[in-house]
Amino acid sequence: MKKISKWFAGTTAFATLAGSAVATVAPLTASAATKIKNPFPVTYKSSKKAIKGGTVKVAEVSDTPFVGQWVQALSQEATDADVEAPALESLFWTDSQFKFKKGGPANITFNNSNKTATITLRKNLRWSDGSQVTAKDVEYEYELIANPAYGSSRWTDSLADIVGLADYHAGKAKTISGITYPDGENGKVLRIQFKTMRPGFTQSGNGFFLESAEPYQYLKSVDPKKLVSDAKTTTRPLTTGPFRVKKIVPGESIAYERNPYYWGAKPKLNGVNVTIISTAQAVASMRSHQYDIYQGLGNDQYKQARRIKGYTITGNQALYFSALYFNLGHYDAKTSMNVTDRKTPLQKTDLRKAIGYARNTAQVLQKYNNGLSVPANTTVPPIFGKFWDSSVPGYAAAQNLKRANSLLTKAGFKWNSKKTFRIDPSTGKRLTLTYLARSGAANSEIIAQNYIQQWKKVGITVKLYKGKLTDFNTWVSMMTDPTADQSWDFTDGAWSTSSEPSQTDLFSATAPFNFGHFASKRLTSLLNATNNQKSLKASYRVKQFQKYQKYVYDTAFVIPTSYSINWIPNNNRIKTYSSAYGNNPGGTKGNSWATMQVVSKTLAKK
Amino acid sequence: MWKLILRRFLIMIPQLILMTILLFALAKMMPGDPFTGRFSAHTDIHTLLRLRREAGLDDPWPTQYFRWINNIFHGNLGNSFVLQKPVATLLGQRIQNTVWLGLLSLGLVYTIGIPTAVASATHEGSFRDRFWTTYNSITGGIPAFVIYIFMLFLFGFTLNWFPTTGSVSIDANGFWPVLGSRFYHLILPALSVALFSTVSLFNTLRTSLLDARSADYVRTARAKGVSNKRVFWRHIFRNSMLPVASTFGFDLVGIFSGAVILETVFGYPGMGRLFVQSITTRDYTTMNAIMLFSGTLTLIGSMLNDIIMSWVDPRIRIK
Repeated sequence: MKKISKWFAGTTAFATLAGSAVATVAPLTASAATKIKNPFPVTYKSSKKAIKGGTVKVAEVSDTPFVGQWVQALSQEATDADVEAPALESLFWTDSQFKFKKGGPANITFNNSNKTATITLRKNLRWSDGSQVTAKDVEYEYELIANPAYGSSRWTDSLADIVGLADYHAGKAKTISGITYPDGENGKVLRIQFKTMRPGFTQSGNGFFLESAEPYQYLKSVDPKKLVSDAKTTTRPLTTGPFRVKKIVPGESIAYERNPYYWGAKPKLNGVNVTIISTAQAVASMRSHQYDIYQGLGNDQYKQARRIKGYTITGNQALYFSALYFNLGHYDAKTSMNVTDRKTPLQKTDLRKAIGYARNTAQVLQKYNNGLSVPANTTVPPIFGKFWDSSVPGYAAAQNLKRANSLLTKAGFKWNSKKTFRIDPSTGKRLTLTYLARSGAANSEIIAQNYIQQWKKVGITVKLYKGKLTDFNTWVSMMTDPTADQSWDFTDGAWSTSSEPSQTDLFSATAPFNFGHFASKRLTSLLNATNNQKSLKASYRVKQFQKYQKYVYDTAFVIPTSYSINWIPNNNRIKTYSSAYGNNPGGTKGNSWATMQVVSKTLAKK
Repeated sequence: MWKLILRRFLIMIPQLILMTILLFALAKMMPGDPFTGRFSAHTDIHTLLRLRREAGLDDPWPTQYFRWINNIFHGNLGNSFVLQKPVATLLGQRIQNTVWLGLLSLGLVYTIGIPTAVASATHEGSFRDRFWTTYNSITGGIPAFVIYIFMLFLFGFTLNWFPTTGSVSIDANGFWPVLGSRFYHLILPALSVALFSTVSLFNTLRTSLLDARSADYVRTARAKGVSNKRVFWRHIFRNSMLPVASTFGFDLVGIFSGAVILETVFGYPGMGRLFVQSITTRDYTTMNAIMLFSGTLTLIGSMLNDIIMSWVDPRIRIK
């Protein structure tokens, strides 16, 4: 399974990496135990007998070509992760809750007292040219990210927890002192020395260490500045997955053949072909039964796609949430701190809560999202299982105008004499707020205007920022540039989250992505508690997450809006297809590409 | 003739400079930049700001503009921020696709347009004339993108006669299979253009042929006993091709401007599609290079027109 990063969600151009995380069969633990309903089966199994060999055709639905960057440290496009999936394999296997487990290409063990992690590669783990994957190959990925000469955008301060890596990044050291090779560089063991052990270490996608390797011997002779566009990293890559590249038509398609050096069981298929098709063509292409699997279809295409014969849709909860952010302060670039100092009636918690209760979120999601989005109660997606607190009521499940009205009255926002709007007690004028609503979808305007009408019902006058919706690029600039215009009061944000549940990167006092700039001692302490040494004990960490989610609900500094469901149509000629997360031993074992089979030579039309 | 070419070339220089300034300013006025979509909670904001600074995107506009111009003079179009390749390499890959598609389309337009116009004009008022005139009136009145979508869905998705995306099949291996596959991928979009874009050529040539038929020089030729065939091909047809020739330069340039819609609908990876993608991803280097390329081509097309006209009609040269 590939590492999943947090990305801005909300436009097709910046699709999530979650689609690539489809691996093997697993029950939908979170949804089975809670009220979040997945409308699709997680796994599809054909009753027919599989044939020998065959080639599966995969359509990657995207309006931009794939870049085809095979070095993980230099890759920056979600599309690449999808189209390269048959040949790329993470070093470590995970369970359905994204926890590392044994049995994959490498195993990782932790020694909390020595503050070390030991990575042991399989003896038969080889690159697709037959050469051995060595400990140096694992270390080389760190060099590629930390050495600015390679131009990687993936360096984060989380990696600075590895001893000596920050010095290497700053050019103060020529080697990474915290990474050592007990059996030598060409051996199979790598040891990483950390400054601090983190509870998130056991979760994939934690960001504190890397989960991939690159072929050092193959790439070492390439000029660092040219590595990103060299044929060795774009059209002639070395990989470790069940398939290897046979041919690439740049930006258009990739043909894969079996990797004869794959460490695991011999792949069942002869090959896999992946082709980029445009969003506009996707549904027509499905109707013509051109491809077996359609990755990256938009939710607005679901209504047309769901009834096409010959395909079964599998799905799973996405690592995703959306929320309403309130602008409560500013980001001080000098101190890298969020300061909650904005003079706004929104500093009153009851007003924020009233805004949350007054929205008819559930109705909107039902009408415009075809059941592919569900109301959120917290900012932690339910797919995280026990880390998600189902007892938190949230604000999105049902509109509650009565509660909103009583909260506003309690907070001192009185109606005017004609009872057409409420008065802001601090100014004595009409309570008017500015909504920075994003454009992007065909129904964005309708939804924004609907919410404005709902707020009007409880006396809150809301106007769109500059009288119109704001495009994605402008919105990102406003959120990430502290000097940009900050005269908005609330906005919608959405994240495709990491597979590590920590929310420090999103809401801490130092997080640049804390768009609302809410910071408090209590919030800092709660977020720290989910990441401190005590949280190395899983049950303690779960409790801290529950406390954190209750605090988010009580303070309403953000109003969680929705969770979403990933869905993938796959042709009925595929023997088994699963949207489950992790390398689960149920049904098919290991890498899903290696175990994939078909039941006929041509695509099923029924 | 050389004077004309030199004069037209010199006029092009200030036009080019003005064009580059306008293009650069327009690109910079768009919100966001290539790094906008890369912000994520697991990406260090300082790393991205450093990369943006290193890419020179924090510099004032004039500095960025002059650096861009300077690089162009040194043959460096820069690297694509998004596709991580030298822009020259990207353009090289895409231009050939667009050129082949454009030339085939243009070739088919002329192959269909000229004979039908001749057949129509030489049989004025006949069923043949009425048929081709009606055909062109109908096809000329339908917006191009509607035709493209219709053709794609009918012949691509419904009848499955032609491929619906890409420029070559991933299964084609070897020189001839690849060449064959590339041609196969061109047929549907090129036919879609050709069958529904002859109206302008047809009308221009037909009217011109009918006008020339009653011209003085034709009457004189006939009076001198020149055969009908010779009168038509040597006098009527040749002179009637003048207005057609005057638009040839722009037709060539039109290959690139028309490619935006054509390639987007047919999922054909050429310059037009790359241009749209570079705008949506704010890939400035690619976007500017394509705009500069098409702008320059338009100016060259206009110059080419003047040269062709002066070559075909010496009176223009004298003026």
